[in-house]
Amino acid sequence: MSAIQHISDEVGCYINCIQSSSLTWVILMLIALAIFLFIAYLFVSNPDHRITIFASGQVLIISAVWLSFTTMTCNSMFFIDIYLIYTLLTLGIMIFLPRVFDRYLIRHLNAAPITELIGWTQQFVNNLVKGTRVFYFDSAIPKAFAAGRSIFLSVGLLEMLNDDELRAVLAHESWHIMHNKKTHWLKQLSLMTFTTTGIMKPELEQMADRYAASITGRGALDSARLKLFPEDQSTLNP
Amino acid sequence: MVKIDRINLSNEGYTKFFSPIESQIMETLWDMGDMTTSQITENTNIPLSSVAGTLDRLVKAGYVDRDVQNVKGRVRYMYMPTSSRGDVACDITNRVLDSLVDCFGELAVENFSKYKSKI
Repeated sequence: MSAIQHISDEVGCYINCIQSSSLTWVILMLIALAIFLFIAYLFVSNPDHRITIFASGQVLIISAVWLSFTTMTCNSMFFIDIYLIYTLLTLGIMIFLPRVFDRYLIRHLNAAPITELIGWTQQFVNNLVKGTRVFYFDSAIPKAFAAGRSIFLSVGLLEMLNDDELRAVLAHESWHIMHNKKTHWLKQLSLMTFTTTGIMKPELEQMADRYAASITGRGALDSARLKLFPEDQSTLNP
Repeated sequence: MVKIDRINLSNEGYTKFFSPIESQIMETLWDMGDMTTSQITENTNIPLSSVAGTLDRLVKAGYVDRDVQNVKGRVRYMYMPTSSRGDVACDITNRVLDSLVDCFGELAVENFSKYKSKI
């Protein structure tokens, strides 16, 4: 039997199993509901609602896939085995990676504790989110990002921003640290449903900005954004 | 950055060996000595977005060195050229000559001798 014939028989068996199951209408309803949520996502502007709606749609898709699995009784389920292995692998990576990634970055960037340069920054971050460490690294390119439970700032960024603007950036990155776990689950959902992991990035950035503005004031945040992204002023939200 | 296979003989001055922005930054540092990032952007009239990446490359390649300083609570880089204009010219010349000798051997050396007699 050719490989194509084998694949076509296996997919045919999947379809037969789903069609002959009493759960078919439930599966179809879950898929319809997920499609409705994905369409609703396009028309909602509030970032919190957008993330909730999109993640709910993904959960419904995964539920539909799981229900479909339970209906299958095919002898060969090669594709399903591959999907399960893929899901377990990505889940393992998503759980394991954040625990070691910041340690890798500290070594890779040769990063040093920010207290060697500016003392108040570490205390400021500790007041927002406990157990987070702030590092600086050698680069003239202004950059700030959070990884694991660490915040990384380039010397270029420290050169460019005044204290208020730096507070706004630190508060923004602290929000990412506070919501690390949720973000990882959103990524995992995206991997399992084969949707792009970057689709919710603008919403997450907006939420981090909103938090930073609540801590330092809108002026400091907008001023920092203007310096860091002079070409992209559309990101300055009212 | 200075790469033998990327030397552009039709360009002027140090842009034969460096990119135009790299060359402008190096010339400024050689002429004016140690400078901060903002002084470099002011003197070269190149936006910070272009200067920052170029300075990182020049530091990595070893043409420029930098210190991180904290002056009255403000963090800043201080840049300085690692070699003089003459030393860099000497280094580039050596690398070009090495490459020619590797390629043409005796013939290249004979031509250098002819050159010397011309000078």
